[in-house]
Amino acid sequence: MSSLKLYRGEDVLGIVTNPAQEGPETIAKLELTDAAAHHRELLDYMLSVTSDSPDPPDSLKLFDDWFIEDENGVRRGIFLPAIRPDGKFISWRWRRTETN
Amino acid sequence: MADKPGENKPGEKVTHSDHASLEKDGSPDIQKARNPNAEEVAKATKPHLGDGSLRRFNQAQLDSQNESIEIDFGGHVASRKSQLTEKQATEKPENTRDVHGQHDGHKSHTPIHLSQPARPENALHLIDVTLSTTARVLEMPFLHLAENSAINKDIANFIEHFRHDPDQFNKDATRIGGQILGIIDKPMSEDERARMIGMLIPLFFMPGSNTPLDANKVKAMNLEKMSAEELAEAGITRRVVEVYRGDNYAYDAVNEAGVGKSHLTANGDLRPANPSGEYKGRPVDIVEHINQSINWDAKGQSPYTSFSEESKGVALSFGKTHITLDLKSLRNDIASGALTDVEIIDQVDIAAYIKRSRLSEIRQQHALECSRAEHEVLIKGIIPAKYLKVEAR
Repeated sequence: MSSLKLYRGEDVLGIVTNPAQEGPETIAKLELTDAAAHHRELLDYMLSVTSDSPDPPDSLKLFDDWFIEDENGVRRGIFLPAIRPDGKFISWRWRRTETN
Repeated sequence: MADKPGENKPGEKVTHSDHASLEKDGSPDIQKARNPNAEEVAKATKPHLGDGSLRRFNQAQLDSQNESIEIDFGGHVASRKSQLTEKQATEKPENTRDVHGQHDGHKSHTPIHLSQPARPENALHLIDVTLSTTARVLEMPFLHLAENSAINKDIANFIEHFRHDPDQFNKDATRIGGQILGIIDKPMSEDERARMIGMLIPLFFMPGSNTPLDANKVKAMNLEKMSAEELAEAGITRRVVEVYRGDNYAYDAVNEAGVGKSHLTANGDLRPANPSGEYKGRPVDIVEHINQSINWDAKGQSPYTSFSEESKGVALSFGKTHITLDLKSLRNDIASGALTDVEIIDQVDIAAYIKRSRLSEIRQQHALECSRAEHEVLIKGIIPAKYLKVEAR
């Protein structure tokens, strides 16, 4: 599989390559797009969060509207992904769908 | 007290030991009581020779009637009017006892000592009573199971009993528990107590929840649509026999992002990122393992390995190595003590662990949703190779 797209709502936040499964998670390389700049507050929180961080503000709606689209244009829902602080790697879990 | 059971005179007190002897199997008196013929009925001594009118049942008469049967505990007398629990009745009063166990200032009754420890000279007899009762209780289901189609009928009845009401298990447990409490919260002689114990003993040998339900029964009862937690609330344990894990780099101890991961060792064991599970001097939280988004580094020190109950679907679409864990054998060996330092954490346990997490409620909820979606099962510790089947895809 060559590349995937990371969606937040209708925006493509990143290009995902070299996905590798690790149990229920998928780890991949991530290259943030220019559109990520429109989600600066969201990404700042995600890249700096730790176990001791305060909960995200409701206004971010952090847990909603995340998708991965494959090279065939098929979009599948994922749970809130984890992005490494350097923004170079991403990890996610698939949401359950009827086809699973 | 009368010399023989059944010979009590009108108004005479019936003591507890009389009841015990009346219940004795094979007693000719009890046979008569059960099967009186016309002649016996005609000759029977009526305890209350009345004219058939209700006039004589005034309050005083009723009070007397209510006091006509008493149980004397030595210090206390229990009757219909003066109801005492066994504990109350056998509490030692402040009055001093005389050498016969009678109390100053009380009228004399034949003392019956209840709730006293079994005396050594009676021990063999009481054991015999207990085991005989157990044997009779066990005989009933054995005889029942010997009947034609008994098991099929039982399954049909079982399904019919539970299918209408999801709370039926709880209702039944409450009702049966109440009945047992009602029985044991009464004064009992040593023999009665031995019989009660004998009746309860088989409960400890019933296979109960360890007996797997067959697939048809599970389907008929719609159990497959219930979550593990819902089943647990209904008293049913959901036991998965195999779980699966896909991994592109199954033998790598660190992933491409530089984070520690579960991996197969040279001898085929499956080792978590860090069996000790210690991260910065504290244990890795289970929420940190499931929800990597809050702490990659903690996940890299996790003592857990994630598996899924699902063998198909997108969860395995990228996995080049497919690992199947024989959960049934692993569970059995942990239970027998043959395998130590390994823990199975199924969906019910995961939910409980998450609730105890130090992380915030919103983090807990997210972890729970992630885990449920995957039908995740976690294994804590190193899994020996003999429980694993590894296939390259």
